[in-house]
Amino acid sequence: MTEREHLKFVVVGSVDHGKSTLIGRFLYDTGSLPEAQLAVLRQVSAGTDEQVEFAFVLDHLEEERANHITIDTAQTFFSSDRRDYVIIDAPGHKEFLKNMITGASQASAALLLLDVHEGLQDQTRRHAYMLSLLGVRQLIVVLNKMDLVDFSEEVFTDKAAQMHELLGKVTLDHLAVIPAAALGGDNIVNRSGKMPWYDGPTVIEALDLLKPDVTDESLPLRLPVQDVYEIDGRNLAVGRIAAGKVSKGDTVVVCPKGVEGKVASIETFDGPLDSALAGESVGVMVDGEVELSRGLTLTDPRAALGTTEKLMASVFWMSPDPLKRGERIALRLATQEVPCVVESIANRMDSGSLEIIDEDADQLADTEVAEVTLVSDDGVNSESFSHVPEMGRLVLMRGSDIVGGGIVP
Amino acid sequence: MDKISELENQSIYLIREANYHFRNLAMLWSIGKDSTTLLWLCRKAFFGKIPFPVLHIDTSYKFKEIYAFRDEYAAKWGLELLVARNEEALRAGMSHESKLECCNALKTNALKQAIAKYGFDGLLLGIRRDEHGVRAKERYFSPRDEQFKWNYEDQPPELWDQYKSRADEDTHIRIHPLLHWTEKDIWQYVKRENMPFVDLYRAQDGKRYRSIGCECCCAPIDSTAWTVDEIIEELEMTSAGEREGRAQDKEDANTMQKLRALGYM
Amino acid sequence: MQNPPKLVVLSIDGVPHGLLMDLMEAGQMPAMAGLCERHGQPRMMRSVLPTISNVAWTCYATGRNPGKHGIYGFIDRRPGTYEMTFPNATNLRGENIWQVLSENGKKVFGMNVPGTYPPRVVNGILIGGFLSPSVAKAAYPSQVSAYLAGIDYHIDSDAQLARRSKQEMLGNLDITLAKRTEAMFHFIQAESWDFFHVHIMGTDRINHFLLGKYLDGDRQFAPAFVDYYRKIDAAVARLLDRIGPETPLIILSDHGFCPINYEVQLSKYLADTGWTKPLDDAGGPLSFDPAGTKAYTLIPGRIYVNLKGREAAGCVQQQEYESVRKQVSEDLRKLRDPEGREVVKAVVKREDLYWPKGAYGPSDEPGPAGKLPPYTLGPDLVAVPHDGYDLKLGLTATQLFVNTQLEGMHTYHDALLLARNVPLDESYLEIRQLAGPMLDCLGVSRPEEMDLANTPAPDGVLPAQTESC
Repeated sequence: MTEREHLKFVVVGSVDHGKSTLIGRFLYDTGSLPEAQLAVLRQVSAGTDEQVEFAFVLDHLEEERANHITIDTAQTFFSSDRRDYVIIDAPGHKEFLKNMITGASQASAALLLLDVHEGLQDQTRRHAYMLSLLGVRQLIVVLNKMDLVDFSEEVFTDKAAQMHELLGKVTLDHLAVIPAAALGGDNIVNRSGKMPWYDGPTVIEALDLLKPDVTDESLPLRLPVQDVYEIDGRNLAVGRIAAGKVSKGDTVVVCPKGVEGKVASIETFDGPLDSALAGESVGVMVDGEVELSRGLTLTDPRAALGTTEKLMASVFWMSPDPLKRGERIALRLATQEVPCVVESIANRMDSGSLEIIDEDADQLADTEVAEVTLVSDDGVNSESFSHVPEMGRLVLMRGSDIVGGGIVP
Repeated sequence: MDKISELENQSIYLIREANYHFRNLAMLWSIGKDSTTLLWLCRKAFFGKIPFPVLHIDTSYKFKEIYAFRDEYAAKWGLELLVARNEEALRAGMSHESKLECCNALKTNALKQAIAKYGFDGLLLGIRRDEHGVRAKERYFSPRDEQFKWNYEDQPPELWDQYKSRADEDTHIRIHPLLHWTEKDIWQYVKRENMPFVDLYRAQDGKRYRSIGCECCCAPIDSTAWTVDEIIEELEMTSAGEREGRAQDKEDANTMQKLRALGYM
Repeated sequence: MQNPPKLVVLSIDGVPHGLLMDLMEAGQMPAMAGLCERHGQPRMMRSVLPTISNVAWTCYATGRNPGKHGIYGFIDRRPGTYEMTFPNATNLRGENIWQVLSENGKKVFGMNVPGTYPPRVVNGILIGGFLSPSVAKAAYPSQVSAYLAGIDYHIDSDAQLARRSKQEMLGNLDITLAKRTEAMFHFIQAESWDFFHVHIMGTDRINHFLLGKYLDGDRQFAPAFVDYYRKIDAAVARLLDRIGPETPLIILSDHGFCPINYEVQLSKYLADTGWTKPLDDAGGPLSFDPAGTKAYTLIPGRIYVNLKGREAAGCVQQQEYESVRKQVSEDLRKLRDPEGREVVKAVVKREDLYWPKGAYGPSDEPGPAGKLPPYTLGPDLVAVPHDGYDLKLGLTATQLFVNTQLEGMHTYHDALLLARNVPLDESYLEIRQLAGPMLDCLGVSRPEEMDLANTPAPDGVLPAQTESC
């Protein structure tokens, strides 16, 4: 049997925009609800029509059943013909931005849920921008509650055009705008009988059209060392391959030291491997004059990984206590942990309006974005996010808390 | 990479991170399929020798099969096994009439006592997101304070495999490497690895346990599933409904067959 | 015992007008004959293009052309890909007649009509047709499934049986019919229905596999063939008895049939003529190399141009579109059978078959906001064969012309329509138009988007002399 793809996406939108109804629809219309629970619900709602049955489903979505059949609400699983999906929930209010960021940082795509007869707010643009910054560049916008505007083609076309304009400045690989009414199930999984003028995809069809994350074997090797274990008297460096491929016998360059070594073996508890790919957590023995430790990165000698003492990143701030110019702050990128000083905060921007507040700022406040230059003594091994994402995204920490995130452009 | 391998690699990464960051780490083992899977993954992460203790909270109500399994594999795998019990409560004759109270005294308090005694600052648990509605809001690394409460709304953000990984004083961090695994994923992993598990999960006399804990509080389900394949199949029918991969592929295959026979293909 | 329904429809799939006339004349279908005597001969009715049941019944049920409802065949390509998918009611755009009637407070019933799975929510009962995967999933509301399971209702007869043994197929058709009628008579008196439609699929089945033998007067199978139709007639008799002499009634088929000379592997033909480039390990009709494929086909006779901007990996530029269509048409018209006879009667352009927007040819405009490249567009051309040439696929076939157990193929011009107490005027000649008079009969106004006006048949598609009724 061919393996099914799976894709994680985040749903951004507030409960009043119909998020729980939407998620309920995904489960119900694709038949992904636990059969036992469906049976009970059918009994309870017997004799009523589908709309009412669905309402029961929604009500009970959050309940725990005595025989351990539970429905997860913050990470929900359902399937279409084509793929298995995981919905990562993301709340829709400003203060929960960091929750959304956490959810989004694991997702390949985002579903932005909006009320078609409400105005498009700054919040929408902020979400789209943040998503794009987080590397989520496939967006499906669902203009929900079409039933409240009588399924009007005119209203939809107008709103959709506004969406395109609003998102014009946001870097996206894929954008679809879909008219829907989650309550009646219109255009979520089943095509709506009420909108014959619309021949674009339903939400699930649009999801099926998305591209899943593909690990590119042709990327240069990046293996950030996570730890070093002593196994049977030898030192084994362990880590998860961030990009590329490593094979036994390969020459690697250990960054930032710049020293070359040869991969003597690639090990797992199940036995040695001839080679390993991105995503695999392995142990590596490297011959050569090199002592390995956490924070170092094994790289492909043909494609150097730069060490930057002065690193510029697009940073978004997530703490109520603003970032200040001159502040000492800890940077984490892959397995590196580097103390830095904030040299400058340029083009400070409100992520809601995408307007630049200050070209040369003294501080960066919660939900704002800026081009921040970070200076460190030891330097950071990084590269552009669009080249190898794992080596181009970082977090800033105060103490043990993550207060900001950034992308290396 | 297939889904199970992806989950496995991610979990091993998290376990190694936890081991790096915490001074005094321990793993909670309830001897159930989830925490045994976690144990298995820990063995993989550390190439066979787990460098921290494995803690069993013993409520003494559990099935004898559980104790047998625990002792067999603790020995086989060379585990540093710690068993914690709330001796006082047991002596006072804790009854299981009030489920919550019983769990609280025997499980939660026993854990509290163990943490106080050994000073653990990090705990690995086999919690999964699809298990429990409330758990769904958990993160990989969740701080707990002394009273084991955590503030739902004020969770630290987790970003790109960077986690809150230092406990403040008087708190400990719980690490959940299995958070993204579903029940079915666990069983498929068990099958793939040929992992041992307590026989209570297998059907005996037409019943089996879907989850195990104290004998008194667990209800078995009707089942004839004995092998892991049968358990997985049963799960597919009860959990994700008929639309999941296998069933839909089957449907499409049937449609194709029919259309072909009719000459429409 | 409830009142009879206000309008009853009994559909007998694929029964050609001529065959019914012959059987009635031969005294083999007395109930039908009696009906015709009192209410007039059945008319010949035009089907749809491509002539295939789920498209025809979807046009019937929605009163719209495929350009509006989006169903063009049993198989289609998944949007944005070259993967095969089986469109069903989830992909249907627009409402069907059961829904329209429901919204107007009518009590409706539909059983076994192709294209109604999965069943939509209606004020009554809908039981999906032959591609429903199981009894459990076929019905709305779901409780109906329990009854169906209880009587061992057959969603469909066993198609594979037909390939193995025609004799066994007959037995199986009988059981299926028996279950169908059992359910029909159970439900008809369960409620006071406004609209009650039951569909019989077995006639299409028996025509596919035994039409040849019947026409040849085969000693074993010709009588068995007639026997099946007698059973159909018996069901009609029982129905007439139940509903009485006044109840408005329509009996119809969705297309006609004629005997097969050859099955034509059209995918192979397109490969041979350089239009489709099959992959080395080609499987189905969509296993081609898009870079080397300018046109491909899906059953029956639907031709798609691998248009850039619309198809997943189109290689034909917008400017080339017309010339590709022209050349493919020419190549199709050139096709000859082993005896040198012409195979393709006409090649019809999409704009002569489907309307309005969303169905027309390539467009350079990006389209209104929210649209992805419109994949729901139908085929760019439809090849209509001469009688006897059943257009198939066979991308990796070794021979262009084959014969299998199939003995009959669909025809476009000679479906049948019989109406009692349902006013029809002279212009009702296409299956798509029937929603109009049916709604009229029940006092419900016709939705504007329905395509209920008569349209001229494309050139060269109808036989030289067709009776217009």
